[in-house]
Amino acid sequence: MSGANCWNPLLETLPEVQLRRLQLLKFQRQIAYVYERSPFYRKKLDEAGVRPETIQSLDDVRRVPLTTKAELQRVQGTGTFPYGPCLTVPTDEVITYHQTSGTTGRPIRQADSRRDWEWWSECWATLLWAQGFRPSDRVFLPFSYGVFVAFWAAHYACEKIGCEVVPGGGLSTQDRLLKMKELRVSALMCTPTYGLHLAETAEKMGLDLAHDLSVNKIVCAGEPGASIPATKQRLETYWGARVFDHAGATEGGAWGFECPLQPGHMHINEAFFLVEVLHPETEEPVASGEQGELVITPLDRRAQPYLRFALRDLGQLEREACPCGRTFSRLEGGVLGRRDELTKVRGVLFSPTSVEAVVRSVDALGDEYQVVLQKNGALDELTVRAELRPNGGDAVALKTKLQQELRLTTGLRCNVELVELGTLPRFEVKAKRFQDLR
Amino acid sequence: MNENLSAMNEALGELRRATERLMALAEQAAVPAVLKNGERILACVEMLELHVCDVVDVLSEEA
Repeated sequence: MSGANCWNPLLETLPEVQLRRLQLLKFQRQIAYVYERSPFYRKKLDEAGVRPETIQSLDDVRRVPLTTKAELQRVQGTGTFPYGPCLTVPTDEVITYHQTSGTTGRPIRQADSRRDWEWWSECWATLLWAQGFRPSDRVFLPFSYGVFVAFWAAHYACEKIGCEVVPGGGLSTQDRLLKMKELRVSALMCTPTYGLHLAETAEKMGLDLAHDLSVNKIVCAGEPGASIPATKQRLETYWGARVFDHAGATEGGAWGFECPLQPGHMHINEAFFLVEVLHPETEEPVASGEQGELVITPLDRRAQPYLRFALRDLGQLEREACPCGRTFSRLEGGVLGRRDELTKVRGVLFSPTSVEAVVRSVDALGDEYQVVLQKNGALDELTVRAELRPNGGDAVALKTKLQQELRLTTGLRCNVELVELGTLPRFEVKAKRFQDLR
Repeated sequence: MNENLSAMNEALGELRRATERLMALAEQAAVPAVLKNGERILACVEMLELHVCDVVDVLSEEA
């Protein structure tokens, strides 16, 4: 490999033994820093009987207790306002404020120093360079530029690379499409849901995205969609562009990315992050190829750092080499869903994300769908609603086919309701398609 | 170790020392423009250290 697609070939192709040594060195450095500067972690580590010198190998990392969002929610009302005892620097060293969306309770406030903000854009630059972003690109960012970190760091990473950034906040969806056309933008970043919403709006406006616009690559984040083959294919067809997935979190940073050679596999930036895949109950590592919960340590984040943060995302680790030349491990199929959404239905473990792959693989159906779980007497009843396109064909036959496909994929019998195109709720950022009404 | 890597590592050491000296002088002379731009340079130097010096440390440990 030439290293031409690597932001830093020295790190991205480091032989595995050296990569693990780098992670250990960084974890040791980070835990020493955190123990000295974070009242939250000093207390937590003392209670667990862990000192920085305890960590002599990557196996020792498991002696550090996990950090959960619930813990952070509890402590943020105490200590240094408004961040709480996780802050390791004086507040006058904080240069940006962001917060989580609060989907699972009170939002977490996140402080970043000047150094950390540089670190954010380094992590993003690594993935954007891998996905072909170069100074010749004109990049459109259609997001709200609000308190959620979303694509803020992507904006600065584009600047760092030398791309021309068009900030697309404060415009309607229609105006965003017209601006992209007018400026002949070559790249776009959005959630998969918004990429589909833009496509639906363009169709209503009589715009053919693949021919009237010049977008040749799209980076998706915020939801698993771009690693789900059927969703990726729809986006690529509508836009006539390559679609890449990326994974990140307000607490974790921009930690995962698809390389151009292995669609559906997400590399973990292991030079900057330690990602573990653990069994949800035993908290022990699962074997390569088994699904588990992702736990992340950003190894270089300083102002408000995290050790072993439980992301509540699900993934399946693969260590085999990638033809792109990177030695970083990969997640097969990207992020596979949220642990919070994983639920037992009639004794079977069910992930609502699995429905998306089925619905979007059927051309006669629109992009939107809804999954509703409710009680019918003592029994759990699962209903999938999808939109039938106007020329979608025989609805009865399609319904039967869909029921069979869903049964094969989920292992569950599902009711299927086909509704008219355009009737289900639309989303502009992250979609909420699953309702558990039990 | 790769010669370019060693040379980059050395150049970064010089850059850090020069930046820290610049910031100290700016603080003494009370020139916020120099101090604040110095802080930005230092943050970039720290990123460069993640890209270069950490690799040097890992390779040196092996040697």
